[in-house]
Amino acid sequence: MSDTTARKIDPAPEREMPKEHYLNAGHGIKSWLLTTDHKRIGVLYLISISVFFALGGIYAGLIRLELVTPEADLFQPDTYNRVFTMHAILMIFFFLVPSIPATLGNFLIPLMIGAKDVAFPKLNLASWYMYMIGACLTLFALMKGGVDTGWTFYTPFSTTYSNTYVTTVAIGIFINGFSSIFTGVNFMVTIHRMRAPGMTWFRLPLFIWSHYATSLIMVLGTPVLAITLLLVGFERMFGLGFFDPALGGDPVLFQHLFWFYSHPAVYIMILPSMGVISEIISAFTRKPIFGYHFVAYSSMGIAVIGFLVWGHHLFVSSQSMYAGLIFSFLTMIVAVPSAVKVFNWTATLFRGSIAYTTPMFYALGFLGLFTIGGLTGLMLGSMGLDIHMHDTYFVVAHFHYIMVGGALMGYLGGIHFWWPKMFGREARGFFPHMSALLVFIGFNLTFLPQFVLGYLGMPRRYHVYPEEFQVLHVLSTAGATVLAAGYALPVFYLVWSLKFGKVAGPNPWGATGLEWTAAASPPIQHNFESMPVVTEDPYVYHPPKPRKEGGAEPVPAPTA
Amino acid sequence: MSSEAATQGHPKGLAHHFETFEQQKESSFLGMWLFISQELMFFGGIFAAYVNYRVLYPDAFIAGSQQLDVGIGAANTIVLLCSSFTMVYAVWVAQSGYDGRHFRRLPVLGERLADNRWQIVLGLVGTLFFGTIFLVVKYFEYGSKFAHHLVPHWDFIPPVSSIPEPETTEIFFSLYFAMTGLHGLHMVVGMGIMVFMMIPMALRGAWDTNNHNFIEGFGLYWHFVDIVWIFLFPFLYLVGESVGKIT
Amino acid sequence: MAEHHGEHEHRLMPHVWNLLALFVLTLLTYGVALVHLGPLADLVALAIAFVKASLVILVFMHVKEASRLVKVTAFGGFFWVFLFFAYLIGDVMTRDNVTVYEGWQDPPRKEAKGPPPEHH
Repeated sequence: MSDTTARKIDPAPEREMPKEHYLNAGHGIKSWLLTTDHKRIGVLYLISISVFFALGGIYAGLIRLELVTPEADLFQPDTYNRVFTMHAILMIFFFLVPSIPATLGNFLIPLMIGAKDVAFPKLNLASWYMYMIGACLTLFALMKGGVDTGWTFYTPFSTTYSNTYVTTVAIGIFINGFSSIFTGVNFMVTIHRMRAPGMTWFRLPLFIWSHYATSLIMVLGTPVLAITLLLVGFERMFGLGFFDPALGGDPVLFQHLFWFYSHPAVYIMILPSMGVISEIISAFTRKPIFGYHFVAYSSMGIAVIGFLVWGHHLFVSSQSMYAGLIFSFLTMIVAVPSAVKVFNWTATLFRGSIAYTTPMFYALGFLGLFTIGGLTGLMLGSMGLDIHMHDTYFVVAHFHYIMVGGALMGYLGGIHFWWPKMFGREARGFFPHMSALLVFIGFNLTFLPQFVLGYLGMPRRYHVYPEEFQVLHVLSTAGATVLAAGYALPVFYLVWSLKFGKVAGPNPWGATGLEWTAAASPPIQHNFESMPVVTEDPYVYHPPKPRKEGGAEPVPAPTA
Repeated sequence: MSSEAATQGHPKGLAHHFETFEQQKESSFLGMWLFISQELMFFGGIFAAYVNYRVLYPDAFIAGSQQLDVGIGAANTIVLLCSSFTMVYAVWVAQSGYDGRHFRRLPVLGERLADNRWQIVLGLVGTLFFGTIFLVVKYFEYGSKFAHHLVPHWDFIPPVSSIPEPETTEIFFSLYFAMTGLHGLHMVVGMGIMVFMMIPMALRGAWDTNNHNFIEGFGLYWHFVDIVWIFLFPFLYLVGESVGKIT
Repeated sequence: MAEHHGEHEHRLMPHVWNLLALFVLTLLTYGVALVHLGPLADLVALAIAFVKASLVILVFMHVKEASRLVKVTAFGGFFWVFLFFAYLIGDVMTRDNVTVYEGWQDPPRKEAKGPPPEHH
């Protein structure tokens, strides 16, 4: 808002929840299941993806448990294959891909740009149903016995040899893809067409920029995965020979098709997280993001270049060496916009007045972990080194640093940051701090040893290993236990805060952005009492002094 | 402005979260185009598989293509273009509010057709008509593949023997069935939407010159399906025509 | 608010001409295929297909009168598919061009011929 007083923290010590808000705008199950309100759909997604995160987490726990000893004492080899496959499928397709966009993105994009809803509210609801149908189908396959192909469904194993429920899961992921596509189309149109008066492209919060880039990948990438899985399904169901080696089928073709989506999908997971980090770092350093334009453009750069690097998954799959050279080169290039972001966040910290709140802990954790994940990605993107490290625990550690250390830290940071906005009550204090700390320590303990393991030659997807690796594996399992505690903790205090947390008021962090300054917490059904008008850039924490009144006070930092 | 007032002051046909018809129309148009980009990537994936194998097994693709009847393919192209035109007609009627006055003089149904709603229905029925012809032709084409033992997995005998790896022709026919099958599936879905949603909506008068975004968006979908066929025709039927017959 | 729509006239005749042009192009591509052009034939067929698709997009799908954003969206998808194909073909066509060190012998190749195996 133009008016600087609106940004000040409400001084009243005892606040009350607003009388009317989106949570009490309708009652009963029906008002939730048939809602077209983007905020309620965000909450529906929040609940459902949390369930799938927990399920995927259980599978991760089983994997780590099996790997405590070098022998196979918990699972048969076949069972182990199914366990790691289901861990990956649940975590990737049913948690990480929808995580930030479908919950925080759905909730916040209209609020941040000053719109009453997303452009296609019914499509938005349909996307949640598609997610649920796909997820239920996958769960059904899981209960019948699961899949053992790995989440990559490589042919010809998945088409000709595997005797597990490949087709069912492929259809589940296919349907779930619609949910991604609907969300992407919705966000792009919303960002293009629904901005409030005065909300120009370069006044958009960086959260919006990163979601725009994410949506682009969702719309252009997901359908390629859909057709790929459909071809696998056609081959299994009707015997059409696309990948059958006896007919001259080409396994490298499948990998091209698969990674054309699945590499950009990594950016679907990490880009929204980067948007969250931009918001958090700016809010708790009381500074505008250093080099706003560069950070905004770097999101688009990652989305575009990130599409053209998929071949670095095929270095040892008999892909042409010349194609490998180009993909390797582009992999180095895509590190540039990612590095721009990391440097700019760090530069934002410089001389900021940093408040160590829980979201900020998560954001700082993200900075370090994402950097490690990104740099090891460059190592794997070098053709020569990849031959040594391909399909080892080095790769496992690398992508967990990106997906858990990056995407998940951003997700949890964002949930803690916007929790007061979503439910009107705060969750601060000792336990939130502890959760951030436990996650950070547990994560590093779990995955740092895996870099070493991988470098020493421990291949991924094996449940038995030579005895000399046991120490590192035990360390990793110990870390996973700490990590699990770190993830379980928020469930308790966040649910507790819904009833007993301190009432937050519209802007508990004293942050900028329409969702804080122009909407109540929780917001009313149509978001704003009146159409907001934007007159200034984002992240103006120290407004320029007005000529007559003799200068406005900078917005004070919140206490941790 | 309370939340109820926000919805009350709105004209008919304008959703509560939009400010103007222009904004609503632009959003719908852009959204539909993004959906079509998505469809394009979907078909792009299977065309990529085609291109990959075409490069690997050029002879098998020529030999396979020579088993298809180019005349039927060309005729079906014409049929599908006609269906696109009738679709355009329906959209044009909805856009311009044309009242069908030129149809009044028709001896049969003349009075009925001199009406904006029935003109839209006329366009839709025409589209359904040509769509059905296309699918019927496709049905007989598929039938002839069964007769010639060209159905992958069920009944397949490589149609040629003089090329290096004759079994790779099965990949061509797998792609043939998958590509035309997915294309046909898109047509069936479109025709279902027309019969069960759009004709009732048209008769109800759901669209006026301000808001006809649904029919316009559907028109884009139908034309896109047409475009897919425009590419399928040379990719599948014309490949084998440019060189001599392979036996 | 309701009257803004009448700014440009909606006309039917351009669509009729467009349909006729598409008919002509279909016959043309059929005719060209009957002349045995050899390797050029694919290029010509593809070019005609692109012209036909562009006509459908510009006229039937109203992109000619649409905003620049829609124009970019409409043709951006094609560009993206094209990029995908370019990389894919780049790989497939150069896969065997690797020089190996002297003394390397290809392992004996197994022939993958015979009747198609039973599917489940």
